[in-house]
Amino acid sequence: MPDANPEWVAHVVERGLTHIGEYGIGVVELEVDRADDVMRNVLFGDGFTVKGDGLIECWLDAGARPAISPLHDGYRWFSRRDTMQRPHHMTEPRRPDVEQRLMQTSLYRSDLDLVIFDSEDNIAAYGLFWYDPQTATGVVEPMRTRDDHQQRGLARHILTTGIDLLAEAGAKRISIGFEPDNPASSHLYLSVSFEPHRRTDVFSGRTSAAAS
Amino acid sequence: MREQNLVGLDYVEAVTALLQRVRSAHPTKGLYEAAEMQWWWSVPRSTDSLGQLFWFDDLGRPEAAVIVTD
Repeated sequence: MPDANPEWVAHVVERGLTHIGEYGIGVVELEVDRADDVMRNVLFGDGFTVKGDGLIECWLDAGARPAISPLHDGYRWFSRRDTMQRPHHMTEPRRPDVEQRLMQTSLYRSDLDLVIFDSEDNIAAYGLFWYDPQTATGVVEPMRTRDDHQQRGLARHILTTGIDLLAEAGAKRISIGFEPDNPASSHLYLSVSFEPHRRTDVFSGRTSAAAS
Repeated sequence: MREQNLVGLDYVEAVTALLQRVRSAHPTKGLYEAAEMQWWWSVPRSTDSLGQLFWFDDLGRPEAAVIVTD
């Protein structure tokens, strides 16, 4: 919780590393806010090191959202609700049952699961938008444009459409993240009024399993 | 504070409740949103069957968690 004191943070980290070590996992990585001195100091004290850049987290005030950008000729967008006769557009070897597992979660909504098809019904781009009614926040995760369909404004269209749907659903603020070395994501997200809020590092270190 | 291990969708539900508490308490503090944990669930992982460590307060509300995924 946000009001956790340093002693409690240290206890959770220590107990957590022991717990993970009991599963035989020897090395762990985790993202840490660059501004979170308490967590950083606890991890440094446990011998963790900074392995590299994490993410840049951005927020958008829904009231500042831009207009929906035009969709390039020859493309059409749908929500998953309209494409149920097809396999889910995010099905891949790593996610063989993606729809089944998404449907098991409490926040997934097929009407916020957007996909763009080209004129031959090939998947060109997609974006999944999550609305949390309990906190009035939205999350964009993931966004993807297939290589053959880059530079046609598809990601901008699906992002601005999804943001608008989130705002209509009740989201007051919307979160998105990107890797610092991804200039395409950075340019797109900042250009639609997302504002950088937090930057993280990836920490790496050993659990009790590795130490014993 | 009570420690408890939760597995699979039980942990997803509990971490959702925890992160919703965090976001309700502060508009930006905390690294993750509940939806991100739910998105992570879309990939089957070897860690799905592991007990994830939670702490609950006297009212049964999640107060902290350590989630491990591969």
